[in-house]
Amino acid sequence: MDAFVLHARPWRDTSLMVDWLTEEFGWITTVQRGVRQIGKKSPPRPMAFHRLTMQLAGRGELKTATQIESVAAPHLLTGQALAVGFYFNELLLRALHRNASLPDLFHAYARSLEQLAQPAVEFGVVIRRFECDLLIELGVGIDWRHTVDSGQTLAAEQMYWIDAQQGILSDHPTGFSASGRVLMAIADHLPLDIAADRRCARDLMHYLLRPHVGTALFHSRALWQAGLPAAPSTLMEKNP
Amino acid sequence: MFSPKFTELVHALRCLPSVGQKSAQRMALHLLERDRLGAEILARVISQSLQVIGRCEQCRIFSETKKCSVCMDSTRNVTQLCIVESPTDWIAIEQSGAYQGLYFLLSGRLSPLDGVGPHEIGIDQLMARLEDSPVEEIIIATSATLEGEATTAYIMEMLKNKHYHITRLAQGIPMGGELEYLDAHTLSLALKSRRTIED
Repeated sequence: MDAFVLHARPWRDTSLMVDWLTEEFGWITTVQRGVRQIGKKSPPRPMAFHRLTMQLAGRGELKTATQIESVAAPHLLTGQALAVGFYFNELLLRALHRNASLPDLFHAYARSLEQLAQPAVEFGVVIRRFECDLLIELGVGIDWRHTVDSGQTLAAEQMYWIDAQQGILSDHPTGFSASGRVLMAIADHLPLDIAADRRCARDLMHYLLRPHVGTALFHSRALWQAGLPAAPSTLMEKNP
Repeated sequence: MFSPKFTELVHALRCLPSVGQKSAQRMALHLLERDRLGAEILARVISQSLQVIGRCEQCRIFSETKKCSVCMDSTRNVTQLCIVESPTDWIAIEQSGAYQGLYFLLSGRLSPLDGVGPHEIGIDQLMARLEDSPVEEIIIATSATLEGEATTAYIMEMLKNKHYHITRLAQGIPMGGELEYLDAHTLSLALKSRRTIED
């Protein structure tokens, strides 16, 4: 099955516990025995952001991924793109439940990684789009083009209210407020020119995701806020 | 089965890596049955080590003095500073014999999904170490993992506009490695960091 590694953490002395996002079973965890062994020819550790195929082996609840092979060229994320990739993984591990098939989310994740690996990427657009995809998969996606109370199409300069359960409201002050301009940009996956609009879009998505991911700090956001370079940081390009 | 102290000894030995119940029992029996003197020496050395071994105030490697032997060595190149993630990496580079500069030891690497941030790995101490130092070249020797890459990117950002010559360990084909057995990541990096063959 096709899969991405979301996270790998040491398990016992020589093994890894690996969280995967798979097309077939959503988020699953496997144990990879012996991959941290020193001085022995051990199988390579599967790395995150790399589309792989693998087979599940084992009888118990905790299976092992075998026959791990590359499907496509790896996305070598660096700098801010890497911080965003970590954010996506952190988001998924917090929001998902194990063993729930989410093929659309899998494809959205694959598309987002491809976009992150592009040289000139609008990080805000990629992040907001993936967050929208996640909300849809969680069953709480909202109609970004119409109000739910009056059925009107959004107008750019009008202010709206967004309720996490109901969606966009035209005149029921509740939840979170945002301009039509921000909401339409999210709907059309377009960049926002004004910094205040970008912050509004970010805070709106955090508001919508909060019931599903909790209020604890996202460590990957701290990495992002540290201001990692947007361009690839690989030193080999600077010091050929 | 045995005395409570024996059980306590077995339990204590299990704090060592790769030592499970059986191994701990075997070690405890060996020490009590065959090598009581060795056990005494071991206990004394562990106790003394815990008392006297601290960290070098300059590079943070384990040391009995304020500065470790490498930092005190006047023959080392003080203009080069190699940043490593763990004492084992420090030992590996030192044993290679290919490096004659100084070190700085981080407490691991950035790993957002494990909750490990810049503060936890000691980036603040690194910045303090570089203040008023004669360091000209900084060699970032983090692991070739995504967390190592994140750590490198973060350090690079912190050192931006500081006029250091910053280098990173080369990534590519290991000695004796055959191309067909390399993973795609390694091969991709090896191609990206290819170098001109010089006479």
